[in-house]
Amino acid sequence: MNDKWTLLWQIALRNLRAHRRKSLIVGFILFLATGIIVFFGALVDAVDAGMTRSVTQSAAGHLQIHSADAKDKLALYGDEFASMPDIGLMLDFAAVAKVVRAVPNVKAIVPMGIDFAMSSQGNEMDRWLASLRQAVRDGDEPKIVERRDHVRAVVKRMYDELSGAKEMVSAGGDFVKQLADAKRATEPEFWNTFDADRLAALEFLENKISPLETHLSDAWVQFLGTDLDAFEANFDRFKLVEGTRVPKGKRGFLFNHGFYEEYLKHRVARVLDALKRHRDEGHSIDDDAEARGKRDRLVGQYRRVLYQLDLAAGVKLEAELRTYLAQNEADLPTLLQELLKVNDSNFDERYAWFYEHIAPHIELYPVKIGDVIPLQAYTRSGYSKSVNVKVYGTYTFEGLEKSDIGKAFNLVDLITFRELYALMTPERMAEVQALREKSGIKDVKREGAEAELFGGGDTELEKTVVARGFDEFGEGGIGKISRSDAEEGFDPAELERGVAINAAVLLHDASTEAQATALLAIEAATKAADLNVKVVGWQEAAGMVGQLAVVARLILYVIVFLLLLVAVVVINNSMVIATMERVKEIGTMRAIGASRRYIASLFVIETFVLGLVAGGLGVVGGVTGIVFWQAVGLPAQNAFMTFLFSGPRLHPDVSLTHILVALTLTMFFALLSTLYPAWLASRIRPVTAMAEDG
Amino acid sequence: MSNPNAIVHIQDAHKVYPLGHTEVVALRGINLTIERGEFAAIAGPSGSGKTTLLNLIGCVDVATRGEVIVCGQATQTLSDTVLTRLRLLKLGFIFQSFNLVSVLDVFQNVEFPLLLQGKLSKAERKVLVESIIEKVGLTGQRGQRPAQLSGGQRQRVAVARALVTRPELVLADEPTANLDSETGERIIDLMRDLNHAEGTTFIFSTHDPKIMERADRLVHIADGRIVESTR
Repeated sequence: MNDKWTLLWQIALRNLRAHRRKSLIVGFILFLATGIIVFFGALVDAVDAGMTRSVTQSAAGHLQIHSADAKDKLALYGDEFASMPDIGLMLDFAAVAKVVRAVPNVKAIVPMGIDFAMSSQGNEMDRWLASLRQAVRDGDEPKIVERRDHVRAVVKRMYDELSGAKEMVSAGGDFVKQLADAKRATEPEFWNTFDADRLAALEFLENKISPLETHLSDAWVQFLGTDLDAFEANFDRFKLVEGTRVPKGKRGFLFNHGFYEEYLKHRVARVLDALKRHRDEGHSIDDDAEARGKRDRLVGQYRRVLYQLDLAAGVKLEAELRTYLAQNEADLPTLLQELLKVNDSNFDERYAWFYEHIAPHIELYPVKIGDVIPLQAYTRSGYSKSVNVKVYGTYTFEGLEKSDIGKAFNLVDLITFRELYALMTPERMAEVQALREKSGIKDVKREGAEAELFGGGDTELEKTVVARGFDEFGEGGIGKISRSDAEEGFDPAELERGVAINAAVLLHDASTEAQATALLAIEAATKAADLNVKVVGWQEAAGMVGQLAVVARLILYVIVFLLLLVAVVVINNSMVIATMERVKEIGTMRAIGASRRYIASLFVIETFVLGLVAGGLGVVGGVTGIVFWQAVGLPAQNAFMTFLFSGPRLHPDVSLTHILVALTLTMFFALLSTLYPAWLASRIRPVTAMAEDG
Repeated sequence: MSNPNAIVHIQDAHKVYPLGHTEVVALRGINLTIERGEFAAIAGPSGSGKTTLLNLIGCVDVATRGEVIVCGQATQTLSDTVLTRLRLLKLGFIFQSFNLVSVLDVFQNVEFPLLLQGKLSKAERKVLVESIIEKVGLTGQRGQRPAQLSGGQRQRVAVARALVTRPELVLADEPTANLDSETGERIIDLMRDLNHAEGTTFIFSTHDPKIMERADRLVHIADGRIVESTR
């Protein structure tokens, strides 16, 4: 007969109402737990998915392949020590590519390699002197006069600045000597004799004066060498911002737009930009220590503007600044410093003024689209290698513009990369290995060795190699490679034929299962082809970054576990107390003839109903939270969050799975915490009904 | 069991409770037979063992030593499940503090044991419950919760609950202790009437001489022993 159980439900429901305090406490905890599990579960999944998109669609692909001889683990975004790990070389990329492309579900394989290079632009004075020297060499008299007068003006400014630094004068030593040299370069007799021996005067200026300007614009540039066409075609996030693509079969360099704007741009403009971004995000300069620091240091950067101004611009700007700042007596350095004293109230106006009146007279970027830049890198054996390469444009990873990791790589063609890395072609490598073989070292690519020993190699390729000095012992040095070299084309087939450090594999079906299947299939196929490579998932390939989702998930699990643990303890306590309060009633029921099971069921039903109601409300709360943030978009507060969110805002999505998991977990733990009180209640002896309180 | 008309037969029953490291002897060799249809009172001062004796008869506790036979069943050999079943089907309880289920109304409290038994249909239960509520004079209060009732009304609900299953034996532990004397007497009269009308056996404990007077049989207990048994 069901009526007995119907009544039990009725008693349970009424008990929940009767013991309101207990119900509210337990219910609130269950509500909170369910809400948190739904909300943060959905959020972590969204972050996981966002991060996956960030990593896989920017440079990692779904799988990465590298040599099995790797000494370190592949870490595309750098390892814990922010250094480039040694992951060996894939000598014959073409062979690997051929095998991998034949594996089902593989969409593409893109060869790559990451390296650092220094791009030295010299300082402002160096550049003016270089242009003066060029004019002298060309015998271009009007230009010589113009450049000479400018150099003279800048030297004068430098001297005035330096001699004004009293505290440094008192420091004595080298500085006194340097100041004397600078003084000499400002005196009329130096410039009167300039035309008599221009080269000697230039040498003096280059050796003694130029070093006084310490603002070297050397930049360390991290770049990813790749098949640029394949890269663009396969990484959806790639977007050209300025300039043009590197033409097929041409060598070329693409700056990462964020890197270009935030690391290469004129320092004063860059700091002003950063402060503007900060303010545009709704913050004030005064409220943020970092922004305050930037602002305070900005004033000291005025020389970077000053030294770039030619005479005419200096005069014009001085007049404009006097009017703008209403300081009729002040000189240009003072005026510039005054202009750069920005604060929250004058910032927008000064920012606009800077770009309108100053920016046109200075070089905003040391490297412009279309320039040829020298890249100097150190090969693995420690030799310095330098290559000139043309900058075709800037690119970005869409949605990751603000993320540090989205700004990590500049792009260069694979041929230039190989040259900088001093990577040899298979033929050259085979020759070295043949030598090793002679001296008894094993592990030799036999087919390559034969090709080299018996002249079976690709002769055209060999010529290219020799002409470019692929050899580490070649004569590559700063700026030694002529401009024509930088513009030189190559046979696109060369991209495949040579060496690659690693390669990204993109899949059609990118689900976790499909990735795992593809990984195993590629492993099996490359092993069967005796290719000596290692295949890793993007999570592993991304280094520390790849572990972030795992860490976030782990943190969530720990929080949920602790929360549920607290819930279990609190629920258990409340229920035990409730049991104690109801001893007499339960004893009476037992005396009248209710079984132990009936009593235990009463408690389980109470928790079940409470769990369902509170959990249901928790689900509603959690889902509401997610729906709200889905509509509004959770804003990324910083670069790192932009990366995690794979864009400026995260739009989390909640699924039935989140709801079911949350409800199941809450119900399970709620019922778990009721087991003991229910058991305790069922043990209440009927004799307690008889016992009197007094 | 020698007497076929006996509903309760107790032979040399002892009950010892552990209390910390010592023991409390509540009953020391009780011999008692109660016949069907009796209206028996167990009298004695506080701590004399009245309630313990009633607990043994009510099958909510078992003797440490000796034999307690209730409705033909030797209780000390039975499992909790069987004892529960025995209480449900054969016994009725009236408690000193009424012990109603606070969240159920009068009708539901009375219906509760019938539901636990699960023998009757809803319609049958309704007829039965309503007639017994009428007998105890609470028809007007059938939808009220215990908190809304007076002490006497509550005890009448308890009486109705104890009798609704037509038990062979009803046990009442000081049923009038928490009631004023007038109300207490009326409750006893109600029990007395039901005893006469239905032939139900009643055993109740009390230390109120006025109540004792109404009993057919008076069992005096002191120090865990029966000192006098009169009819």
